[in-house]
Amino acid sequence: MSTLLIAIGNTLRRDDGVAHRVLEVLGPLPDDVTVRALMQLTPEISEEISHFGRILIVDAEAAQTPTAPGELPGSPASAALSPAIKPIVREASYNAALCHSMGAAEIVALSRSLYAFDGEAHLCHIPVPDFSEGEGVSPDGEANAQEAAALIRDFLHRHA
Amino acid sequence: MAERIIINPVTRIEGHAKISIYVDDSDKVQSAQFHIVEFRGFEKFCEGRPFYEMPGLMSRICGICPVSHILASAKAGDAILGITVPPAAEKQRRLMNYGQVLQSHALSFFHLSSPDLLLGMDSDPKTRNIFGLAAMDEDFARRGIRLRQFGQRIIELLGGKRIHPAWGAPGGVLKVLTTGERDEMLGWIPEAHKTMEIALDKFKSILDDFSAEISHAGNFPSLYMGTVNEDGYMDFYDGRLRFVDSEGNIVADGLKPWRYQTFLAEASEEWSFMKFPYYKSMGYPAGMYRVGPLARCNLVHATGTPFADRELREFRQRRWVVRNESFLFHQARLIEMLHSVEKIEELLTDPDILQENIRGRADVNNLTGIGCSEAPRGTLFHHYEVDEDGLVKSVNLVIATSQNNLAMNRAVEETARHFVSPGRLSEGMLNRVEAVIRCYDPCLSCSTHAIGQMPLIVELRGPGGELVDRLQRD
Repeated sequence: MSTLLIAIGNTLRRDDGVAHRVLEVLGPLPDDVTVRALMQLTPEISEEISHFGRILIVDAEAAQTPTAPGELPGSPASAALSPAIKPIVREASYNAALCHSMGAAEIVALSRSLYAFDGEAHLCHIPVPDFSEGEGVSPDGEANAQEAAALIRDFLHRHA
Repeated sequence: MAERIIINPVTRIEGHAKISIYVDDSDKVQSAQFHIVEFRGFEKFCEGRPFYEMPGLMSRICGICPVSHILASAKAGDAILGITVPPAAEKQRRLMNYGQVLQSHALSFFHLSSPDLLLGMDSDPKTRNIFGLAAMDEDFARRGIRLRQFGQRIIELLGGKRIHPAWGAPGGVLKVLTTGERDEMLGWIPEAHKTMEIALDKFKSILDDFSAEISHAGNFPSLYMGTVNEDGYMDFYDGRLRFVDSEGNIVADGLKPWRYQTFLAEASEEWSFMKFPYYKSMGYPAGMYRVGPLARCNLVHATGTPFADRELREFRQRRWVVRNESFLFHQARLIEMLHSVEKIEELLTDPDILQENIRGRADVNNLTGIGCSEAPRGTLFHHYEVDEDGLVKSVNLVIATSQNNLAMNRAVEETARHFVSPGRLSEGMLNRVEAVIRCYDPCLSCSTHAIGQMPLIVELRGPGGELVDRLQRD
């Protein structure tokens, strides 16, 4: 089954760009996998999604482990969670307020609605701690990027 | 005792803006403020960089309108070099700017505002979005997406990527356009033209349904500023600046953009990080002016392309030459999209666009460089001071959204006064306050990786700070 792998994130906001780092360390992929590296999801990608049998979106997620006394939420020590791949099942609704981008569930729902996408959709979320301005991922982000890459390789080969 | 209503959008990374509505003892809206709570500091951290790096750095300011910053920055660099760029470079720059206008306006109209316009301001917020739009008119929703794709494809084919292309440079551009790339762009034109015809017809057909919003949501006199060419026609890339008043009288004309500090000044307010530019000779805040689509359509002699000019004539004939209604930013935006499609075709059929001489070179010849262009949201200035080695000593950016800051605050206040009744708050009332901001299409989500949802929270608090009423839209 053809797969579209989409990495999203802003590489100028450190770990927000961790999905791009995953692409760098992912290594060779099966021939039927197409890769897109994007800053954010916008409605235009919904058409392309519909041409594939499966979509896997890779994105950063703010680590939300409980913090110890005196520790700031989102500080490196709190990034203990691991990456995971989960099906996108939520029926999304998109709130068109003042924003310029969409979430993974929203983009999949839009592709199903407008372009009859009927394939599988998965999200690989990577918990990371550092969304400050600057290039390069944090040590925790790098560790989780490596772990996410292993997960994705396994996922793609199992579903080849 | 006065009360305060707060509309506070929240995003994943950082808050960007909120709206406060102040209510007096008699339960009437007294005033309103549109706060920008985001601080970027771009002007400061560019100091010390070589001026030729600036277009690349500046493109990172914004994920929606990077091209506008590239162009203004490259033009500031041209001024530092003291050269005129080759014809192919100028035409490529113009072409990319029209692609940028197309994709940015398409996002604003089709994705962000059409749900309000086609489904209604009071419709269920759960379906007042692009999904509701798709359910109502699938073809229209698809056309909006395709039109934005076209604009982005122009940027991608010229600059190598859709967002933050490293393409503009002092003296010209960095890539020759190929015949194949030109032909691909030309292939999009008929569909884009048809989409604009459909969108304009649809918008004009619903105008009568929004008579209250047209009359009372940000309908006020102001100055308008924008760029015109030597014949007074619309020009997004180069020309002189013109101010007109709310009755269409030319207040100032032929203003040189690089002398902007002689006619523009910026004020600050403690409740917002965004500056408040104003027309200097009228003082603050009387010198409030508007920029962007409505301003451009109000001040040009004509657009200079046949189909857009037909629409512009209709736009003006419906009432008077100058349209002061914020709601009509939408129609002006559509006219500019149609104009952009026509200009894109014109540029692509010009043989100059394929020439290989795309960059002029020189040393630092001037220590000041000021570049100006029309961004989708209005006039944009980049002002650099450099040393003799070309290292940037200071940067001043005058952004289109900030130039509309005074007007947006006025629009929010007027809309709140007319539509918000604190005693019986409804989501539809507050949506109108948001919607008038959307008319101006402020660019607040720049260069952050936003989640795509902005929950709307409105709190009505009593004299002692107690929560009287609360609305939340997820």
